[in-house]
This record gives sequence, structure tokens and C-alpha cells, in this order.
Amino acid sequence: MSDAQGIIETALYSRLSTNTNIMAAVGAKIYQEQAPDKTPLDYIVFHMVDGRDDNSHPTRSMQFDYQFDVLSANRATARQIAGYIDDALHLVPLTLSGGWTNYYIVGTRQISRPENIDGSQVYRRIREFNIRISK
Amino acid sequence: MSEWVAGPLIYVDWIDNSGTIPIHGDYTKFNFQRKTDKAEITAGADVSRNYLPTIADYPVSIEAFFNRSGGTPAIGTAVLHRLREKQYGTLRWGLEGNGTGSPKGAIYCFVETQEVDAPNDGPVTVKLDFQTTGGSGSGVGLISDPTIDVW
Repeated sequence: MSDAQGIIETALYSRLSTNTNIMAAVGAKIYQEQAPDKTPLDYIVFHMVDGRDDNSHPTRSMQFDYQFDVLSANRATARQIAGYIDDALHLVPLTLSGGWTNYYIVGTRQISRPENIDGSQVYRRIREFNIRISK
Repeated sequence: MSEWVAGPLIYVDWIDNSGTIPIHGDYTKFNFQRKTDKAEITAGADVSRNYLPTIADYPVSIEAFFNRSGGTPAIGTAVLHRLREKQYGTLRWGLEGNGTGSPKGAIYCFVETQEVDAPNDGPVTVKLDFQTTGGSGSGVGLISDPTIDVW
């Protein structure tokens, strides 16, 4: 199996980092898995929360759930950036390498979670996306 | 030692006037039945119903994902056109693949139903029902019996 997860994550990063609204909001502060320590707000972190092979037919298809966390000191800004991510991904298939096709990508769960990080109030908006690929 | 056979080995192709096309590429389910009609011959002294088998029947169905690229062995629009209702041909299959020496089944049949299912939240699927047909003689009905024929 080729690195399907890596191929998807490359495509996701490319999609977000070329989106004008997202770049205006967070610049290059889009991270996979984990943001560097003391990263200044606002920023985005995304990671896979679930992945599975369908194994329902001879050729290959997989499904993944990816979680995007938006962290901001401002509640409305966090909400707005989460909306930009939704605009960039919901029903807009990714361009994948390795012979894979992204035939389905939709937003699923949405979570709002206020937190305190290093004594400062942080608004975390979480969006999950279901991504299905075949080859 | 158990030697089960799993789905990904299966080979299925369709032969009509345009040639031979394999159609098993994205299949999710293949079904072959051999069954018979029956006639009741219960008579007065019988203590339970009494039957005789009469005419055999061999329906086949295959379910698969619709593949936009359509290259064989996938099922795309060109294949669906050849496998539309009323089309006659020979359907061949091998549960253990297409290698020489594997058990093979074959029926002379027509396409009875072509069903395309397009849910909003998942891939488009196709279901094809094949009705075996023919009378007596060779080249019709159950052409190759997958329980005894190997080629």
C-alpha cells in the first residue's frame, strides 16, 4: 500500500495553504499533528482521528476522518476561520497523487471548546471531515 | 486444514457479439443460484406433502461500484450499455480466478435487470440480474457446471 495517509495530508495542507482567506487569517501557521510550543494565536492544527480500509471489493478504497482545530484568542475569529476551512473542503474533492481519487469529502462533526492555555483564554473550534478515496 | 475462498479471487466476464469483457473489477457481491421448480404429487395415503422436482433455473447477479473511468474490468457507462436489459450473452465466472484448471461456471442468459443506485452520501453502485435461458441442447442454459467443470 502506498502512503495514502501521507498523500491525503499533503493535499490537505496544499488546499489550506493556498486558500486566500485562510492565509490572510493564519499565514503559514497550519500544522499537522501538533503546533510548535508557544505558537502565537491564531493557528490551525489538523490530524487523522480515524482511518479504515473498506475491503468491500477487489480494488482499493479507504475512508478517513480528519480533525481540524482552529485556535484563536477571539471567538468570532475562530468561528470565521473554521468557516473558511469548511468552504475550502466541503464537497470540494482533493487532488491526490499515487493513482488515488478523492470521490467524497464532507464536513461532519463541529465542536466549540473554550480553553485556558498558559493563563490566556483560547477559543478552539473543531471541524471534522470524512474523506473517502479509491484507486 | 481449512482452505476458504475469499471474494477478491473471483473472475467474471461477459461475452456478446462485441466480444469479451471482464466485469469483476469493483464487484462487491456475486450470487449464483441453482434451483428447481416443483410439482406437488401428494396423494390420498401420504402423511405429508409429496413433491417432484421439475424444471431447473440458474439465476446470477452481480453487484459492483460504478466506475467513472470505465476501463475493464470495471463497470462504466460503456459496459452498462452492453449490459442493459434484454441483452443476450454468455456469462462466465470462476470463484477461484481465471487460471487454467480452476472451476468455472457459465450460463447462456439475458440481462433481466440493470439497477443503478446513487445515494447522496456514498458511491454509485450497480446491480445486474442475469436470467439463464435455453432449452435442451448444448450452448444454452447452464453451459458449464461450476461444481464439476474445470478449464
